[in-house]
Amino acid sequence: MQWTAMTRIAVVTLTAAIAAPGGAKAEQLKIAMIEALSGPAAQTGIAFTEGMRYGVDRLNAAGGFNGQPVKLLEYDNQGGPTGAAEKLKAAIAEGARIVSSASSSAVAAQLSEDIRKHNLRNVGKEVIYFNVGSEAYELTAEKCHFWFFRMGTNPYVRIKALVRAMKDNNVLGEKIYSINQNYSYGQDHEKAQAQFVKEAGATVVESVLHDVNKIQDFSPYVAKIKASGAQTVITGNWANDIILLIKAVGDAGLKVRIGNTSLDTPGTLGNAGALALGSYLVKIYNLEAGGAPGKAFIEDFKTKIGHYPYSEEPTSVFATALLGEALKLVNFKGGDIDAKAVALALEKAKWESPVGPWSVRADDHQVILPITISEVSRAATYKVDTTDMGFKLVRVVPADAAAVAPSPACKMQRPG
Amino acid sequence: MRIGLGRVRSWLGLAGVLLTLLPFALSPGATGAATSMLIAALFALSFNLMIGQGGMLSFGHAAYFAVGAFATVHAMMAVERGSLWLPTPLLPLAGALAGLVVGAVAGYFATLRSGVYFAMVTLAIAELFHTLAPNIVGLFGGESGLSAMRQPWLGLTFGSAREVYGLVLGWAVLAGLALYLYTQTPFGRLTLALRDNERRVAFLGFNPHRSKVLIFTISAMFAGLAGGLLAVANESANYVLFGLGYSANVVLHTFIGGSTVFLGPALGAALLTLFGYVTSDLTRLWLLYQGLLFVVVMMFMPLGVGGFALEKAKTARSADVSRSAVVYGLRVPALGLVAAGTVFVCETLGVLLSRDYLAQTERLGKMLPISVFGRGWMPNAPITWLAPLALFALGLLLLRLADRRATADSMAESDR
Amino acid sequence: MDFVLFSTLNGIIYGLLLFMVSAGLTLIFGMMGIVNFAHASFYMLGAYIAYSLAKLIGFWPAILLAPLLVGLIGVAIERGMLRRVHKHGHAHELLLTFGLAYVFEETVKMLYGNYAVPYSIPADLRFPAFTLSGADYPFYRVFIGLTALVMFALLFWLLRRTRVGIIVRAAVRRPEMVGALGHDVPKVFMGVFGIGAWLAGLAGAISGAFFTTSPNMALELGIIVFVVVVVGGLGSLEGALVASLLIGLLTSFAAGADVALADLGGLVGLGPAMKAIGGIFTVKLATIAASVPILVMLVVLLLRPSGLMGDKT
Repeated sequence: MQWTAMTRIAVVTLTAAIAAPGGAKAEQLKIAMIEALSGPAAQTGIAFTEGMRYGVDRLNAAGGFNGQPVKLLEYDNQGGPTGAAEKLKAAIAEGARIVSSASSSAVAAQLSEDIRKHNLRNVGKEVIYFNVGSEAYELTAEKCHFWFFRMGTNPYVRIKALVRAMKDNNVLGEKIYSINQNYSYGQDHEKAQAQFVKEAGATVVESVLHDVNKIQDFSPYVAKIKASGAQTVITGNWANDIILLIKAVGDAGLKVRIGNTSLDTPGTLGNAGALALGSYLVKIYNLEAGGAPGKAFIEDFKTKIGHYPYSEEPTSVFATALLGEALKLVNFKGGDIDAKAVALALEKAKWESPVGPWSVRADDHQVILPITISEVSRAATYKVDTTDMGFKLVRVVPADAAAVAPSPACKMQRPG
Repeated sequence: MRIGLGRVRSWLGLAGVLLTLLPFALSPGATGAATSMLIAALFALSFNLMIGQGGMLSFGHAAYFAVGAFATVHAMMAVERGSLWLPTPLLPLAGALAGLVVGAVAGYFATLRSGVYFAMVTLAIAELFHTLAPNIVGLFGGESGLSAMRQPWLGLTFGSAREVYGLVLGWAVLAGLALYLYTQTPFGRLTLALRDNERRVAFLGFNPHRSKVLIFTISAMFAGLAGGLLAVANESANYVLFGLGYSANVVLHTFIGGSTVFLGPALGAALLTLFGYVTSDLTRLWLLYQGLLFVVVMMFMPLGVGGFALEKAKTARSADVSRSAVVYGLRVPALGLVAAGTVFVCETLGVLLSRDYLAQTERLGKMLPISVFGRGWMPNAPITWLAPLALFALGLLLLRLADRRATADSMAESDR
Repeated sequence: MDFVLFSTLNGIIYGLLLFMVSAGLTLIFGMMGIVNFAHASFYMLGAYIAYSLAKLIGFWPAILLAPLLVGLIGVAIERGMLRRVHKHGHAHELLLTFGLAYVFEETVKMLYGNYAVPYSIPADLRFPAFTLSGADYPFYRVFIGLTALVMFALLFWLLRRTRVGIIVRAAVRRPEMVGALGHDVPKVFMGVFGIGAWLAGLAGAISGAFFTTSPNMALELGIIVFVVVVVGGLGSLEGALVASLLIGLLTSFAAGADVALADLGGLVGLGPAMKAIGGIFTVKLATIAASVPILVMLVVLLLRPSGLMGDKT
């Protein structure tokens, strides 16, 4: 039995019982993490949640907020938007004022809309949606709103950094093959790849979308890649779809370089094996980056959580650190928490990560952050997945260079 | 049967009163869960019209549920825009209508086949919806789905969980009643005959295919209504609703509850929805327990929990009560012990083999205790494995005792 | 041209793999009338067990031993569970296997985690079998295909040329009669179930190392395998082979096909109109390659429910 969840329920009931008669008591800041903790999507959900736990612990080590420790509530979204919607109701009922989630874009769209509606109906009791990893571009474009914050990357940010770094390192080539999963995330990737490959002076020779995590055999696609004569394959594929793609490319003896966004997911390198060598990865953080502060961070994380934060964990850690900075800008003097003030403070806050500054852009609430490019290599300092390979840092792209202009589709209505 | 009818009515009346008062006793979060239970219950009832009454096993019933949800969201969006006048409480009717139309078309083809082939056709139809829906953005909103907002009506804002619960309860009771009355009509009786002996129905002068299409359509209509209620409750619909998981869930719910008793499926659906809601935050393994529960019920209670209870209630006479009380006084704790043993082992294994625990052990050079049932257990201590084994063995022993007692009782019975 | 050649080869070998998994499913259905929803789980179990064993006893012994263990699991399920619920009818058996598939998947997640496990073929097996106009064709892929062919030959011989085969085939058609002749029909059933599980386990053990071994591999393959069995005709081994190859080739070519419905409409002059409607008409076939088999199954079910080679409905 997950002890944390059990104690959580007990503690929540107790605090509710104690706090009920008072009323004038300081409101404790509760952050609800609604993620896939079981089911197929759990592999990334758990990593994001671990980062969140670590981040909230750090906030509390620095004194908490509003005279109390910040509390992290964890909910399993039961694998989909319906479950997430239900857990959101529970989280709000338990007093969460900041709701976070990361992986599934379908869940993110649901939560974002639900929170927007909740805030319309409950003025004064608003909730902030502090998303740490969903990449669907529309969240900061057509669907952007004041209460939504994307505290991670989106496909445009990642592909811009990836393509430019590959170009500067002379590994981009001239003919690019673009292969992505057929859903909003993959479609965003396809558009971003087309745009930035063109800007880099290369050509996308062919572009294909395929079913998400349903294909057993990628060799037909490899046959297409071969026929196209591409030198580089850029893809936003994740989980099985990237493993199988790398294996199929390697087994066909095709000499192409792969640029991807999810090689770090546990199991990926272990499965792809030596065939993954030379592939490029674009990610928020690389274990080798950040000098002494970076080293201190990853060692401390390993001590507290159990492993190095080489996958999705840094995103939620850094995002909560920025939140911590924002919380320093507001003071509720031990009274109720005003979510609007926190949201406005988030727009102003700045935090210095080991690789550079993090801040939120007020126009669309997209976080502006530095980004790292790595190469799968045996020369990497930190080996992952019990292989002899790891992610060798290629370069850090500073925040301003990584940023992509806000979408004109975002028409944010700010509360008066 | 006749004798019990009056008592059944008063029980149902009491249940009705309790259900109505329920939200006043629950937090908004729990009220949301109760709403989901009602929706799942109605969905299971609609499903059972086909299998329990008509003998048609559908493996794609979620298709009609999802179609209903989307139709309702479209109606809700139209109301929001002002291009349609429809009071919020009547929105689910759009779902029912869509379920009816799609069900009639799909049903026409599916019912051309029977048995396994019928199941396969329904599975294929649902899968086609599931794979094609995200590609049709205008209709299904792509991966992020569609979202709308409930509008106030007659002074009701439909903004609180309580009001939504009331709306869903009203529809669920109405629909449940309609479904029950349907089984009492001559045509409802004919449905049963179709299940038992299709050829005879044909000889009686009815067209079996036409009758089956009708049953399919009615069932799909109620499934659409249930989907519409979900859409009203969540103010959204997403293509994942078409997924195999939702179709599988309704099968699980129906057969655990018992498809031969009218309210059995509703009971199963409500209980399992509650089970998921409560346990998913406690343990990552809740899906495993749900599956095990299903297998155990299939093995030992072929008629489901509802069927089992009804059978017992029917055969029980006052003289037997004390005797069966002894048998069940043994059986219930015995099952509890077996379950506890299973949970114990699974939870220990689940943690012991997890990536984090392995990494932690490697780093510390020693194992840390795993907490199960609120106490730490060392994985290398024999007690950690002997304790669940003892629970398990004790449970089995008690079960055997109960069985022996039951056989002795029935032998005594036949001697008399 | 290269593309056609590669796609054909890929399609055939993927089809042969599908055959290994579906052979057992179709035989079990043919004999016992059970649609075994847990059949693809045997494929998954084969891969996971082989992965665990390979670390202990090496790759080759593991892929021989793992399928045997899966076969034993199959036997245990037939004897201990399916036989007990047989009296409640086929629908009940189907539901039980459905629950078992669920339990297997969750158990694997509990024991191995949600991630794909690093089960892969030994490095010395990673060499090209031959080179076709500049691209290598992996040896292991050919090995998968050959194994499947050998299995087909073996099964065919067993069923058509041996006494056991005669009894099995007879038990499919007239179980009561075979029983009356003094053969132990339940034992025959158990044997067939075990062999079916063994074959699926073998397919998993061999191909899990080449593709990936992850908890959702059963679900991913499960539906395709049903398609194969239905299209081939439930109960027909030859049908399963033909349908496997058909589905394999279809998925292989669909992935490479850059056509949309609107392009087909263009042939009859509806192209522009369909493009204007957009939506489903402009989705490229390559994009929805995985739903092609399902569409095929639907059409077969509606037009010819006995499948390509089935003889009874």
